[in-house]
Amino acid sequence: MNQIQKHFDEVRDLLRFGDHAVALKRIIDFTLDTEDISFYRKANDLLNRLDASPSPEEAKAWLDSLLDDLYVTLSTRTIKPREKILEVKNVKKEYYPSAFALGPVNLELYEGDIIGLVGENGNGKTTLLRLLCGELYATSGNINYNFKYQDLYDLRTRLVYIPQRTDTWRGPMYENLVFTAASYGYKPEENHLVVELIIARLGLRKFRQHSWKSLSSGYKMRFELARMLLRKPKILLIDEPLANLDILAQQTVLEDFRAIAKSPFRPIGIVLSSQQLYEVEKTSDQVIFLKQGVQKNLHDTPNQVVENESIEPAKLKPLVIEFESEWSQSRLSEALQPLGLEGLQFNGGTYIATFKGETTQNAFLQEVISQNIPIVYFRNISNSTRRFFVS
Amino acid sequence: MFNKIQNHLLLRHPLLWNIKVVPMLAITIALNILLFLVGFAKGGLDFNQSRYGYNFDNDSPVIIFFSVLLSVIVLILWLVYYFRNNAFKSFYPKNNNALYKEWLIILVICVLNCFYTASYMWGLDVRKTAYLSDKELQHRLDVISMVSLFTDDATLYDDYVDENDTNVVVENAIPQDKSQPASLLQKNIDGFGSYRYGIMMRQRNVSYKNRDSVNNQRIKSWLINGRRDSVVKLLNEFIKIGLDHNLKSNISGEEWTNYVYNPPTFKKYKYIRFRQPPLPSENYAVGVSTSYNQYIETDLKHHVPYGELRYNYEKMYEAKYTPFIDYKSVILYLMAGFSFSLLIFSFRVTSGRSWLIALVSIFVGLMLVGLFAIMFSSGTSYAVMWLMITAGAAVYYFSVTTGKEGKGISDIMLNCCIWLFTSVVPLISMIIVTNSNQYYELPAEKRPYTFAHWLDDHIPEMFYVNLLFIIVYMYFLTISIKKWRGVAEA
Repeated sequence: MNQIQKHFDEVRDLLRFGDHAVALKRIIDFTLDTEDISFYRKANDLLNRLDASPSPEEAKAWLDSLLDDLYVTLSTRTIKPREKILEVKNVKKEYYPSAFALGPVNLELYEGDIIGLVGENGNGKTTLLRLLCGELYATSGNINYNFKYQDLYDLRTRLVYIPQRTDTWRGPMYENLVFTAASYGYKPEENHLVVELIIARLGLRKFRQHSWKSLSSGYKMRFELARMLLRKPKILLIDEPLANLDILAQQTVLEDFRAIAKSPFRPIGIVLSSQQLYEVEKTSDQVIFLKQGVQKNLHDTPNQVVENESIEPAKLKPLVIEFESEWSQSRLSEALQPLGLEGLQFNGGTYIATFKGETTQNAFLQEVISQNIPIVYFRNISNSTRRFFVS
Repeated sequence: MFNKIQNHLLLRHPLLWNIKVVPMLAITIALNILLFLVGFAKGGLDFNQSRYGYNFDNDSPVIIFFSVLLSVIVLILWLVYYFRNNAFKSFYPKNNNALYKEWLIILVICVLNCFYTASYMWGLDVRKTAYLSDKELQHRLDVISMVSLFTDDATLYDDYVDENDTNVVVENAIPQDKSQPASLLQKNIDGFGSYRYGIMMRQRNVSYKNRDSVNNQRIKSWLINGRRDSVVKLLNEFIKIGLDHNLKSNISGEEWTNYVYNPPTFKKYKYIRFRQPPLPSENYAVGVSTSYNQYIETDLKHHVPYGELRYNYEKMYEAKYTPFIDYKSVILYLMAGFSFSLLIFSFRVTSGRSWLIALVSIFVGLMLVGLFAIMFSSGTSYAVMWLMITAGAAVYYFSVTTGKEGKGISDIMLNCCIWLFTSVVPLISMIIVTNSNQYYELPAEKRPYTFAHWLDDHIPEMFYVNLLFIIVYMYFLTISIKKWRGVAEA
């Protein structure tokens, strides 16, 4: 099964299980992939018909029909191999006379990849994003963008940075998006169609004529994303996109990021910062933890894997479990000793237990049950950046 | 209709849509036409008004005030819409000429928005010049000028000599006994070129004085050579001009000639009343006119509309030969338009904060440099210091655009460059002219006519060259601004 087939099958499953909203988003993505105005018209026509609240069966039939047409067109197209678009080598940023310095930072970003930046406040996440988008210059090291650009201004048109506090949009939202599309060279006859599709893609159809002030933070972020989609960036850099979003909105936005980044025909690289560790870890291909400006990666890069194997081939990662219990620290320590407990920290209402590498998660759970330890929550954070926060 | 056009532009020419160029051109052109028409309507002449009456245009200052207010309101409303979107600051794709194009469009809008007052005043002048053809106006001005010799507007040559004006030729200079009426031969006509009471913003047309001199000599030569018929013809012609404007005289040219034509000395002459219907207080037959210490008998039974014609033809003369709007006064409106366009453009490409800091810095700099210039007591030190400051700002700004580090304070320097470059040509001219002042210590005939002198004589032209210079340097500066925008902020 090729990649396109896989994408379409996912959408067919969504339709089969009645998840029309998510299926519609994916269908809009496919429509935009075609870059064909006849499909833009068909999709817009579909959106207008869906506004009239048809029966689920009717809606499914329409969506299926468009999906089939899209498959016929897109299945014949070849997908280009994903290329490395960004390489950061030993980049440092120092602020004089402040003692804080970021780096050295090393990272690689490929088309379609998402890199999550996590870390406590004031540890360099925003600085790194601003370095990558060209807002700050690196004190040392190199940032290489592997695509063509004429000058620095041209480069920065291809790097979209959405700060945590975005600028206020003046005038109606729709008008702003049409202006953006026109500025980015969309043809007059396709401009409104594309803008409508992107608005629908991000669930903003009801808010087209709203003003900036009448929108909640979540919808403001969505409009920024809509504008970003029109700008077709090579790299999207977003600072704290999940801040001010409720848990459902966070999941939706992250799923949107994933779909946008992994688009088979229009993949982009995304670097985002967030405090929502687990959500970011689920979505990202790599997570970078920054503490005092120093980088720690959640996953080893291919080079680092080879390096680590050559130095310490036999070393196993310790098991780190985060849990909540009403027992005292000393009682828990005593109860977990048989599992090879190496450390037990009490941190903000939760315990962080570190065991030897050979201990497994299931062994921990068996011990909890056998000793009847009352726990209300637990999470294996051995492979999460959460462990960096507590270590 | 505007919505349709704007929508068309939004899809095809987002820059033009963003600048709101179509509505702004429509509004500014319409307002200019409107104010021109108001001026044209207001510019009509009232031939019942006389130079001896109370004539004050109360409406024009009010209209000018409102035209300035209109400029400000239109500017603010436009900026509210224009500043809604800023593709440049958002890093939307732009080619190298896009910023230059944007500035040129801003410039056109700003210039048009600064021209409302000019349009009004132009309308005033156009209406006045529309009464007569140029040739006819010239002829009638000559007639009225020459007739002035027989009115109390005529001046004794020794009372009226402009020492600075070498064009004035004083003929038949005869020593004057001021206790006796002066001979007409000792008097000069009151030509239009000597008219000095034009209101603000009009420039005197000095060259017209040559024509006054010719007319003065012509009427005098008729008197000296006994050409009474020419005098009769002249006065008849004057009376006919009055009739053209429904201004009647109760004396014929022949009769009037009898009052004034007494050769060979021309010392015995009478005035008549120089405005139309007599005032109730003037209900007496004989009076005495006092002018220039001369007591001249006046026959109040007869009148000619000299006051009315003089007043209204002065207006026509002004409109034709000293118009409000000519290439010298237009430069002021153009400079205002250029200034606004540069202020708006610099705000647009930098930030409000840096714009304000630059503005305050320049004001403080102006004062400090002025203080230093006073201390050094040098004529050119002020200009030299400003040129050095301008060069310093430019060096800093251009070093940032070519460097690999952050912008630093280059946004402030960029504002300074955009504004201060406008003063380069005038400052250099000032230095050249000031340094050439040494020649003025020489007698006039020994002074070489240098470039500095030419420059001193052509200040408006220098300012036009400066506007051209601004248009040229903005082309290069806008290209560098795009490059500068890409430089890291910090």
